[in-house]
Amino acid sequence: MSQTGPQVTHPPTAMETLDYAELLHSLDGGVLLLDGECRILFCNRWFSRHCGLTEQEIIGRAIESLFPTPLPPALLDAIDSGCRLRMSRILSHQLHKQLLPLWQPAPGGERLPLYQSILIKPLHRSNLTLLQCLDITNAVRRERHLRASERILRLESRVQERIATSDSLDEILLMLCNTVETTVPGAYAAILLADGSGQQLQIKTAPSLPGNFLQHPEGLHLTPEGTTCAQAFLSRGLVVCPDIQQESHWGTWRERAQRQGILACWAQPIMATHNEVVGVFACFLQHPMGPDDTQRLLLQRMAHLAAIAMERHERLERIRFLAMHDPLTGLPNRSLLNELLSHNLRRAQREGIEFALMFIDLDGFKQINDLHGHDAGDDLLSVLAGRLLAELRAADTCARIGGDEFVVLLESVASAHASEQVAEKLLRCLGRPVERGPLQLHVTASIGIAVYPQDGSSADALLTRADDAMYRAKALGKNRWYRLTR
Amino acid sequence: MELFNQDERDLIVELMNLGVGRAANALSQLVNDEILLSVPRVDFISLPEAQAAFHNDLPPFLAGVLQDFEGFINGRAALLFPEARSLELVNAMIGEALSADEITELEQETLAELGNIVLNHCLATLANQLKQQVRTDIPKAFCASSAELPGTLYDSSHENTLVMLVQIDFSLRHSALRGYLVFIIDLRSADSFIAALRRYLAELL
Amino acid sequence: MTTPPLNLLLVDDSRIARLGLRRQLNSLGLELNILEADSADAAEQLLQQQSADLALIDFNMPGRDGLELAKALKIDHPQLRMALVTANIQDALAQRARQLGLTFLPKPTRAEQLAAFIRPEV
Repeated sequence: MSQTGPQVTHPPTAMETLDYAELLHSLDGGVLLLDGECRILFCNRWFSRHCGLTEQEIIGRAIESLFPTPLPPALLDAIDSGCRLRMSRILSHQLHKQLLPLWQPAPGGERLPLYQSILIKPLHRSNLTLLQCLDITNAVRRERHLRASERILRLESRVQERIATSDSLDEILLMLCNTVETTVPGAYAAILLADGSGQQLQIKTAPSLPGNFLQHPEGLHLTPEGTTCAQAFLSRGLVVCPDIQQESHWGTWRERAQRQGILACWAQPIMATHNEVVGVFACFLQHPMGPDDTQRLLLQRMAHLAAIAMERHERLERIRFLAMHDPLTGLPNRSLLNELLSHNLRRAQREGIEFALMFIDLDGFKQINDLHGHDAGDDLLSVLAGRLLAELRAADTCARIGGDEFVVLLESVASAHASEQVAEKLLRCLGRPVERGPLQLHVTASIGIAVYPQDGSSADALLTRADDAMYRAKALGKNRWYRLTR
Repeated sequence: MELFNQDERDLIVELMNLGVGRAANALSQLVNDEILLSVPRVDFISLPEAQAAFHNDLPPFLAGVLQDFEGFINGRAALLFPEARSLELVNAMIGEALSADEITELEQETLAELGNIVLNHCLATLANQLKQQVRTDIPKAFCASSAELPGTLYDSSHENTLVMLVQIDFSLRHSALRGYLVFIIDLRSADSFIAALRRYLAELL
Repeated sequence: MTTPPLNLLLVDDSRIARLGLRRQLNSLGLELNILEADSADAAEQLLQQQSADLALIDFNMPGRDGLELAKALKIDHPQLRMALVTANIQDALAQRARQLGLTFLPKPTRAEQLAAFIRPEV
């Protein structure tokens, strides 16, 4: 009797029934199997799909006979060394920009080139050789993007360094324009800023714009039907006009643009703090085209840097102003007064004219502070400063050099008597009470006058003289002007 | 290592020279620029000695390409560069100036091809001149410190292994650098290699 | 009538390479007196003692390379006909060699090319 039972057969496993050919057909990437004479014995669906030939058209042929254009010699050499000499080869994209003429079908129906790298591997214990074609288009695009970003970052760093060290806003804006012009072939860069009224754009910097392209009698009006720049300003986003000739919005500008050889325009708004649009960074091109991703990024970054540079400039100007002016009244301070006095002295020496310096000290100011508080004192000073300015000419200077001390510089006077008449006017305006709510604040002034060249021929001499005269006025009873007699 | 006499060593150096010369031609055609390669030195060391040799002779951080081979000799070959300069070599070949400190995906592949070309030509020339056959596998790029190198290159339990360390000088238009070829040869296959060398020399002398 | 043997200098740092060349030259059946030097310096020293008609110079040598040697020899021994022998078969190098008036011979050398260099009139 047999010990073995009836034969039990297992159902075949998944691996045993695997269709390897089908497996290769389902791979993402081209697979060819070549014989010892470099002829194609197998090609997968991916390959036939991407070279536009059917399997029947491919099998049995040598790879170079499949395509109308000759294949690169390095590729043929590598295939040969694989099939005949049994040496594996890798062909990288960077060293072989062209390998097999394969295409990606694109959504728009056009054919996009396929970037590839190729692996050639003779199979072990067989005379077959595997040729694998890898689609690295995405990797290449990522690399390009990475490199473009790096390039832009480097450009940005250079500009930022300059922003940090330079005092000239114009130099920075020029550098931004130059950076764009060297990076985008055939482009004229321009920075336009909204004018005071907010109705028009004015050119701030445009180093290469031909002739008087933007000097149109109408100006660049900020209307929604306006040019690309206007639209960018109003919509607060990049606006591209790849072909001006097709764009009706440009109206009369169209012809002007054409005459100057400008065929396209890209406009990126310049956004300051609090998302306020202050202007437009524009690119005018000599070829009809739109910006690629890199160029868009570049425009964005340059506009941003323009905003940063302008804000920094404003801040510096404010600092400079504060360094030279009294914060409460906005009047020049002692430093600025000294500068202006020296300047005026030199002028007067050159032109042989007379000018006058007045020291003004308020009488009774301390009591106002003590009685009504410093806020009241400050308000009083602001009002009086305003009154002084109103009495003076544009060329004259009124400075605040101390708590309740002012200095007036009359740029030129007809005579010493004329300066005395001005002092009289100033006394009257300072002596009028200042209303502050229910209060009536009242002070008077003591004024000391010194006239050039009679009372001194140097800054120090005049200042001392006016100061001394002011003390005299105080001693004589205040609420008066005095000029020392010699 | 006393496996080879002076003449046999000289022959190997000369064959390596021929091989890298051929590789240089192939590379220079790819980049349309002059690339000169030369072999100043070849050393034969045993596996135990290899660790110390790598530490003393090679730069501490290496970028390289690894490729297995079999035929009249079996083993594994590697082309190694100081890691900091490998990108320079790739850039010189593809003509770009990049600031990235690390090799990206695409450059890895290009470095692999560079190694593939040099190693293929060395091995093929060796084989051809000795009238033998050899087959090579696909290359793989990698990075390692000189301490990690033995682990990457071979399974240290093998005693029957010969290590051939070859210095190569790369001269490109604007730069020059030194690379290293390391051949890890299975000694059990070395007999046919040695026999072929001796046959060649016998005809010569 | 017998033509006097030509003095041919081999310059290569590899003994094996010199042996290989010598063997090839012998197989040409020409009347040659073969001299050997293993470096640029040795070659110059040798040529001070003996004259040569032809020289086969390896490009890749430690110290001065073959082209540098050729430049020096051109000045001191203007009658010497020289060939540069190298595995680096590249246009740029070939051009430099030819500019110096050298014949350019790829390694491994072929008998016909050697013969053409030695007896160009044949």
